[in-house]
Amino acid sequence: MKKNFEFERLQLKKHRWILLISAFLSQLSSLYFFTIIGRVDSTEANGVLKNYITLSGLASTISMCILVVYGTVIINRFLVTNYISENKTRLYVYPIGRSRLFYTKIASFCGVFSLFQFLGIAVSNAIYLVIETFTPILLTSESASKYFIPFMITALASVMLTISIIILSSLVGIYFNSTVTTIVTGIIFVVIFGNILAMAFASNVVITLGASILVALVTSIFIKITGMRIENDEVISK
Amino acid sequence: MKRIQISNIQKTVNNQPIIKSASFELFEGEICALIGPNGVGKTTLLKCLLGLVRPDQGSITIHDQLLSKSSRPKLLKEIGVVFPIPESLYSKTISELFSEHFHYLQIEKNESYHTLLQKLELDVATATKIGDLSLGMKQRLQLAMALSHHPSILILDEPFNGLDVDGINLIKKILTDLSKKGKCILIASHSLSELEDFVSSVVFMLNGETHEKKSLHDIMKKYQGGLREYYQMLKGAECKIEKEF
Repeated sequence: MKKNFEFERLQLKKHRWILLISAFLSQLSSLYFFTIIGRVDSTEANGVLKNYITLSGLASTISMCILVVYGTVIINRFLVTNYISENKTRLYVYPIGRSRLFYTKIASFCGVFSLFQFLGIAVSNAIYLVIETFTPILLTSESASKYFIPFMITALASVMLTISIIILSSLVGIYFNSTVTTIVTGIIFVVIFGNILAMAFASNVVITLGASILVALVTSIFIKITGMRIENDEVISK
Repeated sequence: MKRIQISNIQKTVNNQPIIKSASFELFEGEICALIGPNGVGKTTLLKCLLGLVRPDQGSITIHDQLLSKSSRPKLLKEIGVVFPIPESLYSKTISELFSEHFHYLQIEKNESYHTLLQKLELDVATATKIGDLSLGMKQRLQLAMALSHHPSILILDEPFNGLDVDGINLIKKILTDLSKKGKCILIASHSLSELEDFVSSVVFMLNGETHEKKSLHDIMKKYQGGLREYYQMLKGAECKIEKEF
């Protein structure tokens, strides 16, 4: 199992740094984007942008949207194409075990994606908070340094939700035998959940983390169902 | 020694019988051609053999072991498969494809794929992308992959598609050598001309049913026109039966 996981992990090698940089840049630029808006625009409606927690939530939502699109593209190549139409013949005739291979692929994708996404977001959060502590842009009386833990919890929740959305989209893609469906589903999920998540992130980070764990659990149930379906799947020519 | 036994396989897809009845046995060192027109159920039957399609009725025994969900992974180790390479793999290089192939086959020590490629006269750099290979080269690559784990059974679906005369002769020579080494080879094809001079037995499949397996030697002895005449005879008999009903 470990050997298989290692092999699949290596297949994703070329995406690691792009993922890390994408997560880092999207999070940092979103944080500064909302911070600068909050500073220059002093209307009542933008009062929410005077608070670090809200900023973190909004920035995490934006980076999540970007990474979901990137993630669905990667997972299409890595997983979905192998399990659609006649392509699955190739994987199914290997003696490795159909569902075992599927779970290994999912696990390695989740491992690589979550690690590098979290690293990217965590580093950008840390840089932002350090700079804000010494040279604050946001007009607030609070010190940015005390928000380190809430920022990291938000990052963790964001990673879990991003992975869940990508995996759920790929499962829908496999179900409908289409790589396009994976990307479309990912975008639909982001549009639906983006607004809700931005509000949730901005309210209570612990509740959001709990909700993210719940979504991850639901996703794992769907992974299990798809694995069982793959085990009993038939490759019938159209 | 018996390698494969197919007993009364039946398969219906969307209320349409794809395989009405298929039964035959294959032995060590045999090259058997499963011949029939397109859409007659040959590929579905091969898929049944590989556990890719579940028959509604009947059974398949490989190496005296019943093919089931639990025995499938073990029995698949005994089979090499030549199916067309999917387009989604065209962006991969030959070496990437082989490394993935060896890993999924769970082969610890494997024959260098360079040697395999040489055997099949596939003289290309291993950094070449699959999409850049000609159809014939792809077929030979697929055969090299199928042989990489030294299976005792080889299943080929239309292996001569897209090959030139030299390519066809090369594949025939390799398959003949493999059968001499005791491999059991099953080839599904709709083309009669390429099979006539090297297979040892023939199973015709018409309208979802397999006819009795005949040795090529017997057919050639009985029918002057060879496989083509035998096929016309079977087809004529089928038409006659259909008309009677």
